[in-house]
Amino acid sequence: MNFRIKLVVFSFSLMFFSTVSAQDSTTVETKSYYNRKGMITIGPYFVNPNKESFVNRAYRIENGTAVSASGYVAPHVILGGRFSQFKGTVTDRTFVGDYDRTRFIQTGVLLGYHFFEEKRFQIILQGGLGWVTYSNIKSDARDFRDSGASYYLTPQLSFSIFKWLAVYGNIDFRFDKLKIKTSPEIENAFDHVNYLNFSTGIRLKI
Amino acid sequence: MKKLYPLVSILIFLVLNSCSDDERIQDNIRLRFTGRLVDTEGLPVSDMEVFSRTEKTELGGVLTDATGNFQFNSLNVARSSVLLTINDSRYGAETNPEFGSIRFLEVRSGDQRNVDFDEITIAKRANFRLVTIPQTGTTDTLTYQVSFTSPNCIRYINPPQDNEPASENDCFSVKDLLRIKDPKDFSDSLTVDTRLNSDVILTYRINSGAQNQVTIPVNSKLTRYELSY
Repeated sequence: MNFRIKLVVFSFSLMFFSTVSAQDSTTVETKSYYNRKGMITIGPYFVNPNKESFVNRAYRIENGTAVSASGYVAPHVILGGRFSQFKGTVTDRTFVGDYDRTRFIQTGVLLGYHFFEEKRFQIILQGGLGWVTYSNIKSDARDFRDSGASYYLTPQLSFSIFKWLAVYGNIDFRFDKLKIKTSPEIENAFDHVNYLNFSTGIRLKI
Repeated sequence: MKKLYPLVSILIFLVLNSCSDDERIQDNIRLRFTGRLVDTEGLPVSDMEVFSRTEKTELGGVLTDATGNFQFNSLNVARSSVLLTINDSRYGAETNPEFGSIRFLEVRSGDQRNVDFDEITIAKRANFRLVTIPQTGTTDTLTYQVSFTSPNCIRYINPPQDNEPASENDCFSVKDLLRIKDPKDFSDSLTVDTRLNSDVILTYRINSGAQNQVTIPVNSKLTRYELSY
């Protein structure tokens, strides 16, 4: 089984067992979490670009980090920002050109709807748009970048351990529309990248 | 005077920065290079390194496949000339001594993203050595000229309007080397790289005598010719 899938399964299992073990606990209040002001999430970011994309074809990808901060602007509605980054080492220079590695950085706004809450579980459907910078590093200090827009839909399941702390897991459907101009033959591989990413981590409720 | 130091520093920084800008890699661009490499007999040349580059920076590259084809994607630079080099030792790449080199200048034109070279001919290299042997005690002066075909090719693909491209094109051209050999020189030799299966023309004169011409076919990788006088 793929390492990333294992991690996601492990995270959800962790949430499940936490639920079972917390049955007798009285430390957590089950009142609506959207009554709080907002939340900050942080966790590892497991990246899966689509097979045809240049990111998949020409890089060895390392998992990264995803961070978001959002606040309730209405009882069920959250608004905030998100940041994610991961790194990749170029493995096929004939496909992307002669450089060494890339840092993939995404920043954007996040709009979410908190539509399910039962006992300690919450589900938030969130999405947004932002921009991406693929910061390319070449050994002789001739760095350059590829950039574009990023669109994402990120349903998130979380489990509250304390009033102020939860663990979460989410799937990240992400579409990066890049500004890279190239030959029509390979345009499909360069002008966009679809990702099916996962993230799991902690959520601090403030 | 001290107040001028920051201003001068800024100016130096700006000047240096503007110089290096010529080789700055352009954001959000990939070029695609395709072509086929064949020898002078039309046979495919495999496992030959093909690079796109500037004078200072490598932008992309690949090895030719078994059929001599190559295709690769490359970075681009904003203002500097993009070159295509094959078997060119001047940039420190490994070369195949059996072949000459190819160096195409200014290979990209305007917004062009796809550069198809179709068929590129690379010449096989041969080594020609002329040995001149005077008789003992001779007082003759030998004047000779060797004309040979270069195994290398330099060509402007998209010559800039404000340049003289003809002076830069130097593809398998004929080179001349002139030597005058004094009586005090005993044995001497001249070695040149030339195209395999080409002719070397040796023109010589002893003192102010008649001019002689010899055509020497270069049919092997090491061809030697001795001229005694």
